[in-house]
Order: sequence, then structure tokens, then C-alpha cells
Amino acid sequence: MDVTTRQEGDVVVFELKGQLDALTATKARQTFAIHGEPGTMHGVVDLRQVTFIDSSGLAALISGLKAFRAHGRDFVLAGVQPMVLQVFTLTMLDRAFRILPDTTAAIASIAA
Amino acid sequence: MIERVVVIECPADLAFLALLRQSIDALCESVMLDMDMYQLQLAVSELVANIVIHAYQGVVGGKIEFRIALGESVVMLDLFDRGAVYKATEPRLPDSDALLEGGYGLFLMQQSLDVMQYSRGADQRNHWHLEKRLAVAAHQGGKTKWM
Repeated sequence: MDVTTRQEGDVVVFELKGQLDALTATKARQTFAIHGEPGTMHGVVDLRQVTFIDSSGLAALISGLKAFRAHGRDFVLAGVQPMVLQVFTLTMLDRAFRILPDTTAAIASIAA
Repeated sequence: MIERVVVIECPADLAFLALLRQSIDALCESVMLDMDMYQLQLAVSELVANIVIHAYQGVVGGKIEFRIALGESVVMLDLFDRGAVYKATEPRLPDSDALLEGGYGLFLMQQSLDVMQYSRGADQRNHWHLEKRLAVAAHQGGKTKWM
């Protein structure tokens, strides 16, 4: 699992690549925590290149959502692949997250 | 009728999650729909993570025996470990509004599988038996067709 970050205005974009499971979710969770704690930025998670997610991966994303929300900041998911999306649907977490087709739409939704 | 079987014994370590998922892919890729494959890999990931974290509780040297059997209309998986006894609970979906960071694994397993059974053997091994039915397929001339 590769996790890279870039900044676009007041949004930090997390680009995740690979499989988000019980082994790799810790890295994503720590990255969300580091960037969520100052409470000055919004978060967008680019999941286009995430091919697998399990409940540990969901938990990492929930931790990010809570960290950013705690400071009144948005935390939006983008580019979720169909196989991965079914895990959100099954757990009804597609209602808890704002999920947009791509990072451009996700950033625009924050600016709006 | 069982057509192919793969048996793997690996350390009870999360580092082997991807390998186990790959082994399912290697055995079943030609006969499973992508969605079914994902669900089977999801169920195995959840179960193996539970065995490593909860059954073995960090004990070094624990092992997992993993057996996949591909039949004409079903994939059967049997996992054995010598960790702590599993205390059965009814899989329940956590309230999504509560944003809990746990409690989804068993529910996802149940949703992903057609059969999920647990037993503790006289040999003090935990045994999980999982089944995923293949989508309706007709074998014609050795070639699988999806209907």
C-alpha cells in the first residue's frame, strides 16, 4: 500500500494505491491522523488505485472521517472502484461518507 | 466432485493476507465472476485477520492451515488454527451513523459467503468451513460458460 499526499488549496489529497487490509490500514490511518490533527485542512481520499478493502480499511477511513470532522473539516472519498464500493454499500457506510467520482469533483464539493 | 485442491500452511501473520488472497485468485480465476472472487477474498481476509489478532492474540509461532477445494459448482475453504476458542456471536451490522471503527468483519463474512461454520476439534484446533457457490455455470467441452 502506497500513501502519498499533495495539497490543493486548503485540501490535502491522499492518494492510496494497492490493497487496504489489516496489514496496510495502519499506514493510511496514521497518515490521516497526522494531517487531520491540525484541523486547518479538508481531506480528499483518492481511491482510484485501491483494488481491495476489508473492514480494517473501512476502519482506517472512518478514523480519518472522525479526525477531520472533529475540527469541522470535510473528508471526502473519490474514485471508489465498483468492487470496493460494494463493501461500503454492504455496511451502509456509503451513507456516512460523501463519495464522488473523482478528486476534481470531490474538491469542488468542498469549495461549493 | 472436487476438481482442484490447494493446501497452504503459513505463519499466523497479517503479512500473509495478500498471499492467501492471491492463492484464491490463482485457483478460481477461470471459474468465478469478479464480484464472487472479491467476496471470497474479503471473507478470507476478515477471517485470517481475526485468527491472527483474536485467536492467537500476538502469540509468536502460530500457524494457519488453509485448504481451498474447487468443485464443479462451489469453492470450499477450510481453515485450521490452534488459537483461542472462538466465542460465537451473531453477526450484526453496526449502526453506520455511530462511525464505529470495528465490528464489521463477521457481518461482511456472512454477507459474502453461502456457508460459514465453526467448530472446535478434539485436537484443540479451530476449524472454519466456508463455502461460496459459483454462479450458474455450464461445462461444455471443458470450457466454462456463464449463464
